[in-house]
Amino acid sequence: MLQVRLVITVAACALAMPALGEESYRIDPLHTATTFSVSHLGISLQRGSFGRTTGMVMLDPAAGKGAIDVSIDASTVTSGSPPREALLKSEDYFNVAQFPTIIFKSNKVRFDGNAVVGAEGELTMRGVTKPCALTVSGFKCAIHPSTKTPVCGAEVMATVKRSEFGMTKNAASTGDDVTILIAVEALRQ
Amino acid sequence: MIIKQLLALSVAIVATGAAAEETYNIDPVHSQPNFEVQHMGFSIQRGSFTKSTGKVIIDRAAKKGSVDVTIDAASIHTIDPRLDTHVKSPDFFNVEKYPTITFKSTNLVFDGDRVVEVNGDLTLLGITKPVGLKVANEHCGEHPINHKPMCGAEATAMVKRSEWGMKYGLPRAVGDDVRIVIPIEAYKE
Repeated sequence: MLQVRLVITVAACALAMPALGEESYRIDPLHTATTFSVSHLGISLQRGSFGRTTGMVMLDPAAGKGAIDVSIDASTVTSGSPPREALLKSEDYFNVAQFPTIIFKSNKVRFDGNAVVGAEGELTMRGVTKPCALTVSGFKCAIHPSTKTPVCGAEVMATVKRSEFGMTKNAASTGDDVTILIAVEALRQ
Repeated sequence: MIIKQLLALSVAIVATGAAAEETYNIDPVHSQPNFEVQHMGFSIQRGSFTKSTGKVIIDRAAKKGSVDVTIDAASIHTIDPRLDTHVKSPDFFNVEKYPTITFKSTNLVFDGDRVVEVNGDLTLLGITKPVGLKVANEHCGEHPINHKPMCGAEATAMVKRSEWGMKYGLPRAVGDDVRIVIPIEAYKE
């Protein structure tokens, strides 16, 4: 009888484990910076960033599962030059009036032990959805020393061809390959 | 007669020497200094200065040159206005008291015809310390649209901000090691 109970208890625990192992994190927009760089004239690498990145990340390292749902406010694009920012917001580039949000979603998160090392998902930009792979480095979780809440941080990298999203202007001066770097900090819910 | 010829020859030599020296004016829009610093050990936070001006003089024949750049400290830009206010405050760049950051060098290192290092002095918060910039991908050509001769490169350096007395948030909240990345585009005068 005791043995049966034990077995049931163990089984119940095992069933409960995946749910316990699943953790939700809300992206901290103040410390999550989406930046991008692109070759200009083949002689320099020009950078820009988005001021607001929000979203949720669900991680279950024990089950090797996770999900990412991130939105970038396209209208927060900056590049340190007002005329260039106007150009980036225009129909030729991000077309923010028509497509205010850039979205990345993934249900395929890759782990090395407990650390996230990558994700395969879909990037939607200017109304075009394409597969997009993220490389994640420096993944680390700890208790925030000031707020005492669990925080995870990482550096996320992806490369995309802007032409695949219909962003084909100024091909003579501006490269097609765009490197995206996202500094992420996310607070456990 | 011989004296006249000698004079003509020396004038020619001097003229050639002067011709080898080329002056380039930095294009502020495409030469914005960026920086990267660890935040809480969780993520790499980035920022940039949107206004910088300067001149680069290069004499490739003599393998000499100089760099003189002034950065408007108040043009510092992160992803969030709250962070911008904080980094402009006396905790960090103290822009009211120290409105400019300067970098001056008369020590350019060449590999063949290409500049690969610029060793100079960085003045920040009223303190001057040596900084060595590593220069990658330095090359020159004609702008494909405006057809003006120009040069470009990517300069990087690692500095410890504490050496300039910038100690807020040390050692953990904000890292001491700051990586500086400067894309450079400069038009020939």
